[in-house]
Amino acid sequence: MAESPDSLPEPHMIDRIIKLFTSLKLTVVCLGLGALLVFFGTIAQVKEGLYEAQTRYFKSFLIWWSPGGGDWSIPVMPGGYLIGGVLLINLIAAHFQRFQFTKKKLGIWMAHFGIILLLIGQLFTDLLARESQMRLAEGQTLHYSEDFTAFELVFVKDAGAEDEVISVPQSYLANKGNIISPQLPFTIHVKEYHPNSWPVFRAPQMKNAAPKAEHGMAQKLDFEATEITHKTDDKNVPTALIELIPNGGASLGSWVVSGWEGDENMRKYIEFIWGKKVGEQLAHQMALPLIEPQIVEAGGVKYTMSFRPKRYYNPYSVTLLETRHEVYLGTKIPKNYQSRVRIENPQTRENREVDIYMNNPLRYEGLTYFQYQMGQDQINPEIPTSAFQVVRNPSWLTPYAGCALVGGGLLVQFLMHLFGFIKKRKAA
Amino acid sequence: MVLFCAASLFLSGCKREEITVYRAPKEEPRRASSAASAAPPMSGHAALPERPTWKLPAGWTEHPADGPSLASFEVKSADGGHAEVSIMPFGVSLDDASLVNISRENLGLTRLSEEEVAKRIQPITVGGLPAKLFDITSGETSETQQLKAGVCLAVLPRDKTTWFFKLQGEPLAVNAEKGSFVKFLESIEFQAAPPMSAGAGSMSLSGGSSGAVLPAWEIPSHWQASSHSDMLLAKFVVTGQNSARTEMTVSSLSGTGGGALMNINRWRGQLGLAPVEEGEANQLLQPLDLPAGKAMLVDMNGTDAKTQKPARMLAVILPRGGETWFYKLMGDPQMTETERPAFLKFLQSLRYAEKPANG
Repeated sequence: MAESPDSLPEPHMIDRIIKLFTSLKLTVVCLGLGALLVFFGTIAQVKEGLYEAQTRYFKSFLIWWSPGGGDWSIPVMPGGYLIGGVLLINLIAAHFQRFQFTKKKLGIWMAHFGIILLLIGQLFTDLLARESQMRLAEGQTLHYSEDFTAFELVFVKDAGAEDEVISVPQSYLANKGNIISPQLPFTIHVKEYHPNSWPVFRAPQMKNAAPKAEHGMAQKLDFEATEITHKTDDKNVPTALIELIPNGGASLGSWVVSGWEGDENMRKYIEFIWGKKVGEQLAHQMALPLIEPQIVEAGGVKYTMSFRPKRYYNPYSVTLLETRHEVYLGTKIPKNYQSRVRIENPQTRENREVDIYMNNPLRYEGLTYFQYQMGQDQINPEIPTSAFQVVRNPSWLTPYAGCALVGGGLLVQFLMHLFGFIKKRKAA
Repeated sequence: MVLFCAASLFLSGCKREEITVYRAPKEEPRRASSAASAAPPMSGHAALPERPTWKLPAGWTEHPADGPSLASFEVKSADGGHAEVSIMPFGVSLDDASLVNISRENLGLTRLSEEEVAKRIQPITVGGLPAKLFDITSGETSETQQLKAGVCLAVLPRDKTTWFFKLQGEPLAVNAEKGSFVKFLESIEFQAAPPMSAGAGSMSLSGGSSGAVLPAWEIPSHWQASSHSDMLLAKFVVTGQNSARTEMTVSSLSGTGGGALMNINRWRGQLGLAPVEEGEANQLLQPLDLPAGKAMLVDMNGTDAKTQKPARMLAVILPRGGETWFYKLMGDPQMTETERPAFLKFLQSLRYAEKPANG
């Protein structure tokens, strides 16, 4: 039967695509690009910082470049998602094209599946993992952990036994303009936004310009914009100037919201810095506005406003009971950081004590608590503190499983060859 | 490939941030604010040994004191211009050039050299005492824009306090009111602040977990009130040469407060000393008779567990009915020895309000 002239181009195109994605040359290219990506991404961390470089180089499809001061940008290199994605497709396609599932190829199947699992696991880690910190002083109880790389503007109202919190992500303020949502009792008009800032006391004898806002701590404190820091042991503290306009009502005026406000550790840090210039007592007075709540009222409801590190609340509480900080004799090198905590979970009726220490994290309710830092309470230095890195990573087992499969597959394949060789030798 | 991209984009979309509403447990009260509100009236302006009084010029209106300002006034000049005057005591002072240049920088003006600053100083009297008047903005125009504010600043160092008197406002109003400002300064007189009385002290704020009411006391003038945690009721710091310092803290616990042995061993831990048994602890206690009651004094030397520096501690345990008070002087050994007489005199000044009998 003569072939229809219309059916010829399709199979040819599909064949070419299949040939491309099963090509070993593609594998080599992807691996080469991957090596370059790792190199450039590592170098970029020096200037851009760990998290920014990770997002720009590894958690993207393309890496964009723009000239200094220019508004335009062009893609210059594939990003981690594109290289990893193509590599994954290439691996799966080539494997299914070249290998049949037989007992003799079991080891190869296992090893390849292990690598596939590693790649997919890393993708899900990128997309779903979440890190935060929980800082506790001895005797303190918390129900949440905080993400110091992301802030949220919250409006908290009394809801009886609990508080009701409306959370506006930092990215909304960074975009400026108007924030309108049915969940908000007012429109938030963002007039200014600074990703990093520093508080300056409006000393009466130094004060000359009018306050930025007519309400709240802006009467006593200015917040200067500062350069964004990329250091991993430093953090960016944002500040915004906003106006609140209730739905159908008169404006509630302008307010300054800042990540410096509402946190006692931040206040104590500022007090310490200012104290060097003006003395402890006066610095304490000057820094007090940082912890005075900013309250707005809309629709007969009072909201306490705060711009704070994003919080992740848990249905259970963690209480720090005791800390132990040991160093090697004669040195300051830490030997053991250990914290004893109490977990209280009303849902599961748990009330138990657990030790968290170096290389011994607590895995609980899908979160892993790593012993991160120890120190002293900023307000009362006699009280020790402990900080935990709280990680949520649903795919935390995939690297273990993937490595086990790869190792196991290679071992199986090796043993098969070994036994086959021994058998042939005996037969001979 | 298309499926992979679609899946990744979908998953990426899951990460997009949104405005959310959720319920959360009630927040604990902010610790520093509760400590600040429980601070005895010996901190801030109340700690000043003297207060200024003045004759208010015509057209000036006094406003309530605000924050670090002891007093502030709204000034309306004859031509309708507005200015304001504020009085602010500071525990420390800046040198003349720093004072002037900080103000000038805030106004967008160029910095001046020390010689140029010296030319702008006008000697004046404040309450009969020699002071300096800095005309920060006379005849100036800022580099980028017309001068928006005029500033005149008078500075009077007096004992351990530097007094700042600032006239600021529309440039024309400031110029017009400068004469009234100088007369206002000349009218100022300093008067001693009302002494702390037993009645006033015992009616003062409660603090600490025991709900204790602070007694009245006489604080030595060179002791600086300091911020403190909720565990303490008061804290004073004395600083000497070469950063030597000693701190006096006040706390109170219900009942026996754990007893002498427990507290002595706690203090020994703070000094890096080994704990002792009851017999040895009793030997450390020295009786101390105070008007407020029979107390016990403990005098120990050791190494500050926090700073790892030599430290001396004088701790007093004062049982009073259903609670026990602790007064502790701890710090540099020499400073502590120097402050010992002042500490004992302070303890002698304690006056507790008698609790009303239950009827």
